Amino acid sequence: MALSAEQRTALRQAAHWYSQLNSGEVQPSDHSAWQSWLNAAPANAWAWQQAERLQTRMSATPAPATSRVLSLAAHGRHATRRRVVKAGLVLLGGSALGLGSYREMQYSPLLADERSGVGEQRSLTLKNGSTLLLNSASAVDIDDTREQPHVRLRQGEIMVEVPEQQRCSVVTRHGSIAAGHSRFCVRLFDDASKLDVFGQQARVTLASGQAMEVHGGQSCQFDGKGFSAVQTLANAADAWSRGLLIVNDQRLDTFVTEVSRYRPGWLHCAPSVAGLRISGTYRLDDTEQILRALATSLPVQVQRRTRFWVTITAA
Amino acid sequence: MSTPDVALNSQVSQLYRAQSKWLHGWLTPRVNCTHLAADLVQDVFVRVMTAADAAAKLEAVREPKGYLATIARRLMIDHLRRVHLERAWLQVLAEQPEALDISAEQRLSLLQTLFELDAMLAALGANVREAFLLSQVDGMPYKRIAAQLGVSEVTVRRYIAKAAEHCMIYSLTHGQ
Repeated sequence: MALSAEQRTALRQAAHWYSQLNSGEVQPSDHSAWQSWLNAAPANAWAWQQAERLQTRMSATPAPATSRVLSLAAHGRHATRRRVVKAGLVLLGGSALGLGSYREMQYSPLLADERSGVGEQRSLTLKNGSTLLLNSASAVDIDDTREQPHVRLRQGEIMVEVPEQQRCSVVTRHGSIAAGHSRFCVRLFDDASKLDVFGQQARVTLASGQAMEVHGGQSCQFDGKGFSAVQTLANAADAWSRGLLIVNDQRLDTFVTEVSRYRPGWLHCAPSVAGLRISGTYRLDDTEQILRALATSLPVQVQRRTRFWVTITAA
Repeated sequence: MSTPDVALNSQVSQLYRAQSKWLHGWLTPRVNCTHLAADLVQDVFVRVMTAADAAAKLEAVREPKGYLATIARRLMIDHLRRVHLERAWLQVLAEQPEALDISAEQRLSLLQTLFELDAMLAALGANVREAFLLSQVDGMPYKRIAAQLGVSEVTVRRYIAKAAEHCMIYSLTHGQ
C-alpha cells in the first residue's frame, strides 16, 4: 500500500514511542505524554496499531536462537570483515543477564552515573567497602572521592550496607540520610522518599533543617517539608535484595504495582479485581511465573495484548 | 477464470517461450549450478505472474530481459540469504549442548519466520539491526545494548526507533 505523508509522520512518531516504551525506563509522565499523543489524531491511533503489530510479531519470535541465527547469517553475508568481533557479540547476545547475576564493580571514576535496567539488580562496591545494591530501574550518581562516599538516588531504590568504622550518605530530592555501620534501604517515590533501617540507626536531615534518627527495625517516609510517623518495618521488607517478593494478605492492585517494577512495559489490574487479597513468596527474576501463579490461585485471568502490555481481569 | 487472467496467462506464456532459455543462460554462471538456475527461472516466472498489477507491469515493460533479470537478481539475493540463514541455523544447532527436539515441519516454519524477519531487517545498518534484535528478541535493557555495541543509550534509543519505523513501513508495504 502507498502511505500518505500524514501516515509516515505518524509512523515516525509511533516508532519514537515504541523505542521510549521499550526502554524499560518508562516514567508516569512518559505514559501520559504517550496517551495524549495517541488521542491527538486518528492517524496516531492507526500508527500505534502498527507498532503493536510489530511488537506482537517480535514477541512471537522464538528467542534466544533467533538473534544468534540472524546475527550469524548477517555475518556470513558480510564475509570476514568483522569475524572476531561479531562472533563475540553473537555469543553475548544469547545470554541476557537477569536478576541473580549481580555484577560486582570496583569504583575509580571521580563521579559516576550508574543505572540498572528493568528487572535487573546491580551491586556496586565503593572504596570504603560500602556496598550498594540497585533494585530494578534505579539510578544513582556516586561521588566516591571523599572519605565518606556520597550517593545521590535519582530513581528507584537502593540497599546500602556500610561496614564497621565507615560512613556513607545518601541524598534524594527530599532530604539526606547519613549512617555509620548499618544496613538501610532508600526508595524514591514521586512525592516522597522512604527509609527502611535494617542495621543500626541512620539520621535523616531535610532541606528545612529538620532532622530525625531512625532506628533499626523502623521505617519512615519524608518529603521536603516533614516526616511521616515512624513505623515498624514491614515483614520481609528487604526480600527484594534476595530476589524475592514476599507478601502477606496484600491487595492485588498493590501487589501488581510492585510486580510491574520488575517488568518492562505495563502491567495493570482491573478495578473489579483490585481488592482481592494475595499472600506468598515469589521470585522477582521470573515475573511470567508470578502471572501464571496469579491465574491459578485467584479468580483472575491474565490478558496479554502484547508481551509489554498485560492486564489482569476477572476470570 | 476471468478474462484479464486469460490475457495475462497468454502474455506470460509468450514471454516464457521467448526468454526462458536466455534467462537460464544468464543465471547459470551467476549461481554456478544449472539445476538451481532452472529452479530460479521457474520462480522468476511465478513472480511475474503473481506480481500486483502483473498485466499492467508486463504491458509497460519495454525491455523484457531487463525486467526478468531484475526479478532474478532479487531472487538470487533471497536465495543466498536463505542459504546463509540455514547455515547459521545449523551452526547454532551444533553449538547446543542438547539436541533440539524439533520436527521437520517446525524447522521449516521456524526458518521461514527467520527468513521473513531477516528480509525485513536486511536494509538496516548492522548496529541498528543488532540493537533491535537484542532488545526485541532477547529482551536486553538499552543500557546493556549500549555497552555491548559501544554506543550511548541515547543512540540505542535512536536505533530502536529507526528500526521500528523501518519495520512498520516494510510490513505495510510488503503486505505482511
